Formats: sequence, structure tokens, C-alpha cells
Amino acid sequence: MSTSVHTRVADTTLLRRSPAEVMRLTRMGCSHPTRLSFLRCLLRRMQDEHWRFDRPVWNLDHKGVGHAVYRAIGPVRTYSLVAFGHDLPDEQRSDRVIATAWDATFALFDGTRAPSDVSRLAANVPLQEAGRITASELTLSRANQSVRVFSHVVDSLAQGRQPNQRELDSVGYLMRTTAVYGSGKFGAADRARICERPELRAPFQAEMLTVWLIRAFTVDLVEHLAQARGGTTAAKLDRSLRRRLGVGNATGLGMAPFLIRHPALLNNWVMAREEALARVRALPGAGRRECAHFEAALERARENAALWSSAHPIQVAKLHSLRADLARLSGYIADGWDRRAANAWDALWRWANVQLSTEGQEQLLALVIEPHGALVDDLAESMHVDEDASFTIDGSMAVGTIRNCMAEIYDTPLRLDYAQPENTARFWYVSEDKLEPRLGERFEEAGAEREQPLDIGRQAQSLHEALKHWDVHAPIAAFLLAHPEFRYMIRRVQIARTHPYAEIRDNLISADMLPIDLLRCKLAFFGATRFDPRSDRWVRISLFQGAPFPDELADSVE
Amino acid sequence: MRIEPHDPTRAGPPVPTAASDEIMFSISEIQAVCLKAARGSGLPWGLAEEVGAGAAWLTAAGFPGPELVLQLLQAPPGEPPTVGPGKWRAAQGELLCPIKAGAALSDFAALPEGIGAGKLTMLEVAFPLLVLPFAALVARGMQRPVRVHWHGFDAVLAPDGYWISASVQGAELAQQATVVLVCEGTIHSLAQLGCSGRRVPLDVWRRLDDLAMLTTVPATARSHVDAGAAASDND
Repeated sequence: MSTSVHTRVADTTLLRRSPAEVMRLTRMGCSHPTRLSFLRCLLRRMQDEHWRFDRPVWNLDHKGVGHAVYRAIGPVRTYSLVAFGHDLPDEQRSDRVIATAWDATFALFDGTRAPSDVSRLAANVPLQEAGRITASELTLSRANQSVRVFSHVVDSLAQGRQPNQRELDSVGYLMRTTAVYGSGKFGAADRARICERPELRAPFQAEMLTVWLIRAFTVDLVEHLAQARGGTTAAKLDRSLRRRLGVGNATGLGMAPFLIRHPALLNNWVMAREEALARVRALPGAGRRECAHFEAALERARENAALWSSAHPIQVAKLHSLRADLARLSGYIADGWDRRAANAWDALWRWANVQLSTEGQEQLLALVIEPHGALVDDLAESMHVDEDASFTIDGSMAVGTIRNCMAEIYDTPLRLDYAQPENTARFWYVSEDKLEPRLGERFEEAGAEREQPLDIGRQAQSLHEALKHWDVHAPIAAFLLAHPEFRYMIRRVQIARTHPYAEIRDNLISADMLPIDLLRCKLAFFGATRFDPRSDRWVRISLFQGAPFPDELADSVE
Repeated sequence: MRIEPHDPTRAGPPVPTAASDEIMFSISEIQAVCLKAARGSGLPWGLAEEVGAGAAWLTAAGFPGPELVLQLLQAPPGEPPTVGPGKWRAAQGELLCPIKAGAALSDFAALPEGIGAGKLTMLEVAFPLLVLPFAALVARGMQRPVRVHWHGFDAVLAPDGYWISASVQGAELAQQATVVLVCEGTIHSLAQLGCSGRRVPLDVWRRLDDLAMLTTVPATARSHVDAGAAASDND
């Protein structure tokens, strides 16, 4: 690392936004994908390292039943997506985890698959949760067709016509995944087995690769079905239309607890993003090329905001704010912003903090770091975490030290009155039938005695109260021996003490908490776009929309 | 095994049936089921996390982690230690719980009552092998080897590996033992933790899973609707 980088990093500490500002649900619920999002990291690496892609097996019949294999060939290792196509009656098509049959099922195989592996996978992958995979597989996934768009595209192509662009844009994908399992689930390779590989070190890279290859499969499938129906008159999907398609994803509460159960990891994600913003703000001036790149990104953001639709009232209001903010921002860039002034990016950021809503500010964050890859892309290397390293409790820490840092980190929850029903109105639990995280109404539904430990603020307050009866010089080890029930919370406090963005500063069991705020934050880190809530607790999104396909990656600007 | 939609006879994760009576589980699956089973048995969340992490460590070191955790959870709950310099014992003269004692071993590592002072004897620990993962944490934290031994069993946990020897067959799976820990140890040729899962007998897995299910709540019709089951998915 050069001296100049050291200087810059030292400066940026003061420019980073405070956890009290960033780790609020209202702001997390306005998160936008950035160039540090996990799917962008994946594409950049594969492009930089000149990965090659092929499809050695395409064995599907006229109904799309059979299997195909896609390979991603890196400098050291190869990964193979094994895709199974199924003939699914419309009435069985459901996006929920409760579904038991899908249009297509997938596994990402570690290496180049052998025929024996395919027969083993064919016996298990279509069953999804009811099957078993092995340490040779990195992910397990499934997808369903968007009935309307899928049929429209196949029909059009079969007749030698291109599909209607507006129709495509109204959905934005041919298939949507309903689960992408990795990290040892259902027998898959443990994270520890693969996390030292540079290409899989950043979070969720195997999952992102899976989805990106699924995207290629969805297009190949519609072209195959059109060919089967239309024969020689069938057309291929126009490349510019193809680009507009992502992979849909339906996701629900299952994602929300992850952010709370992995505080050190959450810190590293947010820290990377905040440090990126701080580095840009610390720049002495705005370069001509960066300004042009920024303006192009702003234009794309306006197009995206125009195409981004939702019927959910909360999201409708946010989209309204976003579009208004982007219009105001464009006006300011054209007429108000002095890009030749010293610290021009910082000045722009300060303007936005006064003039734009939270939606617009978070969008601007993504836009200002977009032209600064050389400055920020190394931060992608800091977004993973060794959770074992922060697991051990430092028992020699004094009770007083714990209390002092709690006063800062849990400032808001420590002042909350948890005797008020609205402050404990909800409880998180895992459902017995589907093992899915759910949110219950504490005073209306049974089961609160089996609550998951996501009531962080309330636990913090209980711990803080209990610590008041202890000598401030006593080691926390002695306290824990007497109070093992606080072990979970003490571990969190010690993690949060050294990981400033580890804790969400809101009450996660209050009556007005919106789980979709957690979902949007996590999905933005993935790189998801077109966030479309269907209720306050489940959502549709799109992945890789607008991104290059495997046969385009080498020639794309990423 | 194919699950029917809304099968009223099923609760919890589908446990696969197989020709053999053992199934390969990943380390993270083992960690998760042991954590939940410990919580389902009544341990506080923080100690349940230790059980999960301990089972993962033992599995990675080639030991039957899930089997030991099941034995622990099915036995009467052991006691936390009364800690004093050099010697720890259960307060009421019962057996020491290896999780509570192990957690304290880690917590007190740098304190006068802990192993950092030199030698520590833990009297009558139930399933002493479950203390080993905590000794590994201590070794990593202090960057010094920790020797652990009891009758017929000897191990050195080093910051960068471990060495284990049992002079009496089956001593590592002792039901109870007085455990001596010393903050030293000759480094033999160290083994590294593996990263493969383990074949676990299905009956063991089912019993752990039964305990894990005690952390779950029967879903209500309302929760299904809230989760989106009432909405149309076909667009």
C-alpha cells in the first residue's frame, strides 16, 4: 500500500458517517446497490481474470425437460452449474418456500462435473430441501417462470418476432429464484472449505455465480423452446432486449434475521461502503473523466427509477421521493454544482444532505463512488469476516468498560420503556412447519416463550440493568458465571465495541418496525435492483438486470 | 423422499431416509442443529452458541461431536464451576457441565482463577472431551499451547493445530473425568482441523432434531398470510 493511500485512509476516518446515522432502519430501508455490491464484485473479478464460459451439455427436450451444464472457468478452478428443467403444471407454480415443485432446479458443482455426479444430482437436486447434496456442491437453487413474460417471449420468438419491450420491462426477468442455498446447507460444502479461495472470499460469491449462470440458462431455454416450436422461422432474442432481463427473486423474512445474527459481517459490509464514500469525499477535486462517468451513472439511475415500479404504498412513496430527488440532483449538477471547486465531491454530498430525502442521499452515495473504482474497489476485499475471531469473549474486561461502551452503542434502546406494549409488540420466531423465520404479535399470538434472540435493544437494557449491581472493576467473567443468560448479549457488546456498524440502532420488536427495511439493506449489498415489496415482509427483486451475459463479459465495461 | 405439500404429518426439516443408517452432514449443519438442540434443552442462547461451536470443532477434529452433544443434553444438567485458583469444582458436589466449565475456562483465561496462572484442575467433568474446543480457543487467544489430560487421554491444543493421544481405548469418550489443564505443552507433530462434515447416525440426528424443534413455534394461519402465502405468485 502506498504512502498516499495511508494518508487518505487516515483522513477518511473523520469523514465516515456515524453509526447512529447509518444504522437506522429508515436509512437501511433506502439502501441502493453500489459497485461494492457482491454481484458487481463477482463480475469485476471474472472480467479482470479473463474467465471463460461454455455450455458443454444441453440435453433438454421440446418441453424443456432434461439437463444442461454451464461452466465458469477461472485461472485456477472451474465451477459448473448443473441445471435441471422440469415440466411444471401452472397450478403448482408457487414462489414461496412452501412450494415443492419448480420449473427448474440447480446446483453449482465444484469443478467439471462427471456423469456419475450428474446422475447423483438428478436424484437429489430436483427435490431441493428434501434431497441431499455433497461437499462437491457449493449451492442448491430453484427457479420458476414468470408465466406471462416467459410465454410471451417463447411465442414471439417461435414466430420469428422479437418480444414486446414494454412487456419485458414490466416484469424484467424470465425466471425468478425462490431460494439459493449455500454455506453447507443440505450437505453442501462448508464455507470454511472454500473461503480461502480468492474468488469466493467476498460474501455470497458462489450464490451470485449461480444466479448469473441461471440467467444465461433462462434465455437459452426460451430460445430452445421457440426453436422446438417454430423450427427454422424461430428467432434468437435480440441482444439489447436480452440485457434488460435479470433473474427475479422472491424473498421474505428468512433474510432479515441474518443481518442481526452476523454483527461482525454486517459491520464489514457497511464499513466498506462508508469508507468508499469517505474516500470520495476526501478527494481534493473532481476529475473530468470521473464527472462524465458520474453523469452517465446518474442518467442510468433516472432510467432505472422510471422503470422501477411497485404497488406497495410504502415503496410508491419512496419511488416518488427518489424520482424527485434525481430530478433535483440533475438540475443541480447542470446548474449549481461547481465541479472545479476544491473538494467538489464533498460539497455535492453536503448539498445532498440538506436538499435530498434519505432515498436520494443513498442513491447519490452509489453514484459518487461509481466513477472511482481505482479508489474504492480494494474495499471489496474487506467485506468478508472470520467470525471465529470475534466469537471468544474477553472475560477480563471490566464491568465498567462494558457499561460505558453500551451507553454509546445502545443509547436509544437504553432509554426506551419496554413496559409499553408497542415497544415489545412483536416477537421473532422460527415456524415449526417450514423452519422459516416469522414475526409474531406478542399479545395476540402464542409462542413468545420460544422467541429468537433478535430483541437486541431489550436484551441490552436488561443487561445494562443487571450490570448496575456489580462493581465496575469486576471482570465480566465473574458476571457471566453468575449470569449465563447474558452471555449472548455480552458477546454482541464486545463485537460492537470494535465493529462500529455491527448493531442496528432501532427496536426490532416494536409495533411499527418494518422488516422490509432489513431486506432492502441486505439485498442492496447483494446488488439487487427493482425492490418491489408485496407486503411489509416479503419482496420481489431483480438480480443482474442490465449486466453482461457470459458471452459479453470480456467486452463489457464493468 | 418426496414431501407432499402441506403434509400434516411432517414438522421440521425433512430428515432424509437412506439405505444406510448414517447420513453425511456438513459442519455448519452439525453446528446449527447442536446449537438449536442445546437451546431447545433449556440452555441460554449464549451457551447454546458455545455448544454449536464446540460440536463444529470436534467434528472438524474427527470426533463424534453430535453424538457427544446428544449425550450431554440427555444427561442431567451439570453444574457451573466454583472457580478458585488452581482448582475448579461443582458447587453442589455434582458433575461439572463441560460447557459451563469450558466457557468459564475461556472467560477466566487471563485472570488469577484461570489457566493463565499455570495449572488448573477441574474436578469431575461430565463428557470431558467437550472441554477441548474451549481449550483450543484459549490457546488461540493466548497464543500459547494448552495441554489437557485426564486418565488415559492427553492432548495439546496449540494456536495453529492440535495433537491428541489416548493411551486407554475410548478414554476420549469418557463419561466423566477429572481434567488437568496446563498452560504449556510440548508441540508434537500438529494436526490441522479438517473442513469436511461427518457421517452421523440417523437416530442421533433425529433426537438432536427433536430437541432443536423445541425452539420453533407452530405457524398460525395469520403468519402464512403475512409471509405472502395468500398472494398470487404468477406474473
